[in-house]
Amino acid sequence: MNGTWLLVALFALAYLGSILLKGRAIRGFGLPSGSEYLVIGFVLGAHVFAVIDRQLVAQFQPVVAMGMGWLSFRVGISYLSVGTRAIRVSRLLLGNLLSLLVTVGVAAVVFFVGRAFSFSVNDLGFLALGVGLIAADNTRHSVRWVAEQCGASGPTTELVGDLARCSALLPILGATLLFAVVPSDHVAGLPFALRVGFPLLLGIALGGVLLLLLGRELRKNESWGLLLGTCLMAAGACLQLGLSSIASLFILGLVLSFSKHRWDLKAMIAPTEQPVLLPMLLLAGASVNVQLPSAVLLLLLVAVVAKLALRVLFGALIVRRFVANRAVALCIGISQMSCGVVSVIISTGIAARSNSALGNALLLYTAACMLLGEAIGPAKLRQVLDEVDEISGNDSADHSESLAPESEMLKLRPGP
Amino acid sequence: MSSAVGTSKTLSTRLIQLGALLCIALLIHVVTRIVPQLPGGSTSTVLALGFLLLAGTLMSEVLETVGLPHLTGYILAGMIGGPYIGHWVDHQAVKQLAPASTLALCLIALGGGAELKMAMLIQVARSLAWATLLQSSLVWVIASLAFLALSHFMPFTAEFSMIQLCGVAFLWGVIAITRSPSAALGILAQTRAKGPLATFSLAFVMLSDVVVVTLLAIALVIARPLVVGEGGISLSDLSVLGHELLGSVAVGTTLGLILAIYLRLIRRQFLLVLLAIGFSLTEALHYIQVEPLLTFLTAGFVVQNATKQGDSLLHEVDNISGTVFVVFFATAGADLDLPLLRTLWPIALTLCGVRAAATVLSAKIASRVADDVPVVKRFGFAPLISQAGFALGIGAVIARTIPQLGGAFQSMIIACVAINELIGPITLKYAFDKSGESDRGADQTWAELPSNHAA
Repeated sequence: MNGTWLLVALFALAYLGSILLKGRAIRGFGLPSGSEYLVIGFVLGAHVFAVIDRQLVAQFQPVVAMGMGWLSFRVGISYLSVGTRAIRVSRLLLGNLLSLLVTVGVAAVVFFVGRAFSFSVNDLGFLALGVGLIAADNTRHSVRWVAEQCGASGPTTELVGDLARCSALLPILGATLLFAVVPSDHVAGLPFALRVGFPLLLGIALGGVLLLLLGRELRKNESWGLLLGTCLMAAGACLQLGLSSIASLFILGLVLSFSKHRWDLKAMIAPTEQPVLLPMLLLAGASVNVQLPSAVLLLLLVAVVAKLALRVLFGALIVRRFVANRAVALCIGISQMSCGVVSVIISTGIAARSNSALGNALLLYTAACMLLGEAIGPAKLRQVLDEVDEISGNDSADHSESLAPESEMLKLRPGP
Repeated sequence: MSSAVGTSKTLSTRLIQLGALLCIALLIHVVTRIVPQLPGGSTSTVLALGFLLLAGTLMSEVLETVGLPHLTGYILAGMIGGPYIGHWVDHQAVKQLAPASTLALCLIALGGGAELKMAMLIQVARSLAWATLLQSSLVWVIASLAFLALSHFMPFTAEFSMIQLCGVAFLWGVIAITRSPSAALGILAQTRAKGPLATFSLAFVMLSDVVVVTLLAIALVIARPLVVGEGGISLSDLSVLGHELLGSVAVGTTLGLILAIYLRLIRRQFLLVLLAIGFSLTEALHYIQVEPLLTFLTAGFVVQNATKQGDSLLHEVDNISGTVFVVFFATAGADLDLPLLRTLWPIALTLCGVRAAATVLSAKIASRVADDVPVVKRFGFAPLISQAGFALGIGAVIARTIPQLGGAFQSMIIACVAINELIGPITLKYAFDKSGESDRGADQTWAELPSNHAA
């Protein structure tokens, strides 16, 4: 397959994604985290049919980088609110505490188990932190998918939705550490703190500039140019330096979420998520490399088990405060196994940056977690919501708007 | 979306825009100094595209304060950031941005074709016919003679005989009658000009594409034996032209009908459809040797005039017009060969001056003969000064067809196009402003261009 045909195929996939986003009748179609596209990418990739070979994937790295950056920006701008409802500070703290506990727990398990093998401390630390951060991700898509399918609404639905959304911060910011470990040769001499801090400062600075530019007058034709231009500049600068573009764009989006035009901006950007996400999942799937040392594969298996155990444990402990039923609290922990966009952008970015077995290991770990999460997460969540009586029967049109796609909710919002 | 339509921008807004421009210039300067270029250069392309988009948009806003058109801002941003001044966008990045630029041009052509309403064409048919005739003949002759007269000062013509010089001058004439539809559309989109001048401008520059492609083929048939010095005039070359023209119209009509059906039945995510079609079709059209610009122009024209989906198409294209213009013109600015312009500027400026004078003269005569309205009589030349990618494309075709001309001939074309690219948009905006057809302060919308308000 040559580049042009792949590009057209990606456009077709993007088109499919845009269709799946629209219309209540077919929302909820497909798998919750979109892992089928990851699998399709893998099947088309070098390991199976080799339709999309490694050279072609490498050729599309700028497209992937732009796509991942845009998704990160999208996660950032919608981080503090669900639709037009602001997430409470207590929920933000709770979600991040959960992420932190899972990250530290999984990283610690991998690190200590990995010492039994012949890894260097640096490599082991890199891998442990990487899988820990990926383990912390809990995709909001999965929660929304279940809510769509079951017509669920209520405090528990809102709680799991908020926690899923809040889980994005730590993995994305934590990934700056991983990028800082493998910078380009040109910035390798810079202090580590600067390599970590630069993407964040750049995101704040460019976000501030964009806030000022868009904050005063939001004109239709200029807005897209300014948004795209700023995002591409942030992504391009970080990519050129070999630093974390996803952190930069996440922060940029986060800063922009304080704009007085934030609802308009979210309404502009929200419909782009699915069309960008699906092609990116396909390319991520094509990039997955399973030919890794057996020690690494074993460690990844340990990491998956650790994630499951810690999710159940910490999820249950924390959520019990909000949900009286202990069995339900345990199930909520399992339902948080679902992961998606954040894990994919982190692991794809690091795999492309490091171009090593460790980077590939993170991508493989993401794929494994996505598939496992897909298998057990939504089913458990449905069970939870059923237990707490938040499923309103089969009438999916009746459910609350609390987790409906933002593009739709924002249209309903009265003007400022 | 909340919009500032109709509001003028305050001084503080302008200062913020200027500050932002300086900030991003500083950022890209630092980044490109730390990491000058990476193997493959793909990451620098992302940075370059971001810079051109952002700097182009901001520069156009800042220059708006002194009355310059947005296109000039885009071009200047590209020039300043390009490989010869700021060195922030290198040659490799410019080369890698070529597909984006080609796609932008195709979308501009699609929008331009959709602007051409049959009723409007009939309305200005008389003006159009005279203007096309005189602009294509008189300007061709005068520009050719000027080239011939100045050929002594052009080192690359030293080896040519008089006959060969005549052939080269003849081809130069074709370059001179090439206009820039994208520049005219860009200015129309920014100024939202309405009235006879806007209608005439739009109709003429769009039609001139078809005329120039046809005349180029005829000129090549005549000039090639003169320059090469062997063989006779071969009419078989005209079959290539016929294939190209008919192929473009056929493919364009089919594409137009498909787009209309899509707009009628589905309409959803039309931007994605346009991007997919743009990328895949431009590749395919090059392969089957069909002119992409003409194809997209025809497609737009068919949607507007053969179906009821014209306004829908214009609305959809309008949604991306701002970004498309910035990408196209900022990349063109970065691509300008400034050192070459510095070397050739005296001759290039003279040739441009003669071309401009011939254009003004032809416009005056045509307007008088066609008995145009006063505003067209006065400013009818204004949309005809700009040259951009289309002229460079024509130059490339000539250089490819007659390799004996060498790179120097193409360099001269590039130098002249650079000058016209800078002067043309300013002239046209000035004409719209002076004629009172500009609707200043309004948010640009392609859908509300003069085709919908034909005088």
